[in-house]
Amino acid sequence: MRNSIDLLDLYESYSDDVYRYLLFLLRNKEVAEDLTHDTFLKVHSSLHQFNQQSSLRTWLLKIAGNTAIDYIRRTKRVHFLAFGKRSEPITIKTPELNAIQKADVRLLYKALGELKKDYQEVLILRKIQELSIRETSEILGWSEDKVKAKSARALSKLRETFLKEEGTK
Amino acid sequence: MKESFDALFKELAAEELDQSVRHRHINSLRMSKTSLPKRRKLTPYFVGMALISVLTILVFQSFLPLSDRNSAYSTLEPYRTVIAQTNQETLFRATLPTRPEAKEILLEDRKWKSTLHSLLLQLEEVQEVPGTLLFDFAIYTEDSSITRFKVYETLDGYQLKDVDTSLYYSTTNDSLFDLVTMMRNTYK
Repeated sequence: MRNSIDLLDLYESYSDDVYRYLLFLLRNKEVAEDLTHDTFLKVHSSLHQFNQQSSLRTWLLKIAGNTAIDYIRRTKRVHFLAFGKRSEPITIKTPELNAIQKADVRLLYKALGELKKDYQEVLILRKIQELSIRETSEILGWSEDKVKAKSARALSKLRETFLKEEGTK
Repeated sequence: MKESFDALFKELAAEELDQSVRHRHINSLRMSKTSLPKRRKLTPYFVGMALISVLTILVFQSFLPLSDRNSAYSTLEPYRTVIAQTNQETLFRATLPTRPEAKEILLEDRKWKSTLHSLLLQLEEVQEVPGTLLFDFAIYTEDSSITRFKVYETLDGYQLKDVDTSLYYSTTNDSLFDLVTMMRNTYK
């Protein structure tokens, strides 16, 4: 059964889920694309370890989450500067944010990005990926009660941030 | 509110799904050409990304937004420096508690630029040595991340601490010494 899982089929079926999870976590399209690829590389080498106690989707998202954490740890070091020639001003921008046309949705994306990482994770899984509490608990390695409690707190904080942002518009 | 929030989440997910369709095309192409295990094919892409990141200059913000964004950061330092950018010009902005008015130094000043550039390219991780905090500064990058550094004076010289990772650095040249000297001269 395990050997019969075709990696390309797996990719076709779940790459959107993995990519979207990584994109929301890391907010960088190129990095999300690279890490999606990395996730499937890891899957390729550890497919034999899949014990079928969880669904393939939750297993993949768990690997994707770990890949994202590795990436964050790796890149949390020094950022290098280059003071080259530059005449035009540089502004902070998030390309993905600019691509979102509807103001409320853009605001939600922005507010989501301002939450603590664990709040972001639980909301992305529950609200964007629309996973169940059980699936979310498997991916994050939390108890179901913790997922429920964190979701509620995260939503409350998100609402607060959203309204605050809305008020500044 | 809950219902409208759920609806917004659905719209947000749909927005990103549109983008992920494009992503799948890209990656399907990669996979068909490379087959999954050949990771080397991706390396030039990743290196390109890294280069772009390195060459992306950083956004420097004014002093006050920093304290808004991270209030814990604003309490400890004997003096505090933020590299800042306005719409018109790039500034090196610094302040002392005893001298609330910020000192602003145009980063067009070649010496500041070359010293910081040199400093950040010559970092070498070292073991922490007890030292006295001299000053700190923050670097804002275009992806909104902030890297905070503290500069300590030790018995042997100076060391730089990356505040977020708690890693300590020295430099393989004199740029850290130069930076400290320039900071001191600024506050003479």
